[in-house]
Amino acid sequence: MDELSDESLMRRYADGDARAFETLFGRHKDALYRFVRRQCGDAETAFELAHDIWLKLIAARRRFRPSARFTTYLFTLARNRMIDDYRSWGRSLPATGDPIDVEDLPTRDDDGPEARADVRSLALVQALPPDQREIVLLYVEGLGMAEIGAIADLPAETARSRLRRALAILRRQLEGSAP
Amino acid sequence: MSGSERTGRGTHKPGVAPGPPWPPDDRSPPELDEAVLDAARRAVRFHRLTHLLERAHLSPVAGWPLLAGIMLGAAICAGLDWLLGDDADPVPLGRIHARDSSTPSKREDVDRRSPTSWLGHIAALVRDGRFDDAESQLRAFRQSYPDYGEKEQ
Repeated sequence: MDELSDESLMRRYADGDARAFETLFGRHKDALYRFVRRQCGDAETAFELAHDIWLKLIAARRRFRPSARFTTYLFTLARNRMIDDYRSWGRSLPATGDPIDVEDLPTRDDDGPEARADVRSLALVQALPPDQREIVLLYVEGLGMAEIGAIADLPAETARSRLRRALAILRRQLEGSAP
Repeated sequence: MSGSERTGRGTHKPGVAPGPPWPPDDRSPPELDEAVLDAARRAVRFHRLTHLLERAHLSPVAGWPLLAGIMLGAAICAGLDWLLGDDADPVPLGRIHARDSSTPSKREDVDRRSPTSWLGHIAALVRDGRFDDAESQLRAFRQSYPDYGEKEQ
């Protein structure tokens, strides 16, 4: 089961194989929770949102079409659910941070694990503006620019540009906080 | 590999090694994991039971009078239509955690001499999310009516 792709597992689950879902869930549960938790700020809301997102996936299992990658589908569900939640409460995602224009930091889809880990290790991600924060959070989970763009409903180049700006902010803050 | 052993997605980028761990509170809580997995398993059971009921409903044995089929439809139509209906939201997810097999029901009384009534009762159990009871009742139903809905399979 472990060697199967996400998309194959989802198809198996739609056909009634509960173990396929368990494998799929094991692969992505932490990443999805991190994405939600770091966007919404508190653990209780994150719990409720993540639970609801997974239930939506379960309910939609027979409509899943492997034309898109599973992760794109899952994180798009998550993003839409969070947007709905914030709209229903008449609020916007917490916005902090200080956007700056820095375009000279290379960011490629094939950035190595070290580059992603550098960002992952920062505790400053939550201080980013919401539109940049979600890009960074998807990036550190290993998603490529095309996939991130699809989830955030942006052209891949726009997603890449936002990521560059976000990384510039993070690196600047990290340098500023260095002893 | 469990998700807790991963720090990133990793499934499509085998070259990407796990990074440093996130803070513990950024991992999916065990209570959440249990709730989701339970919901996923119950969804599968829901559809398996639905399929069994559908088969019984749509394939009555030869020789049954037309009236029996009509009565069957009338008896379980509402429940079964609900069960088999819109695939956009086929599972009563809102009730998934609300019930267990010990939950009392207003529909405990069932005439087991009438397969249509009995199937309607089982459909109601499924609709209520009482899958243990529904499976038990289906087994009993099969013992009492082994040929019902199973011909020409």
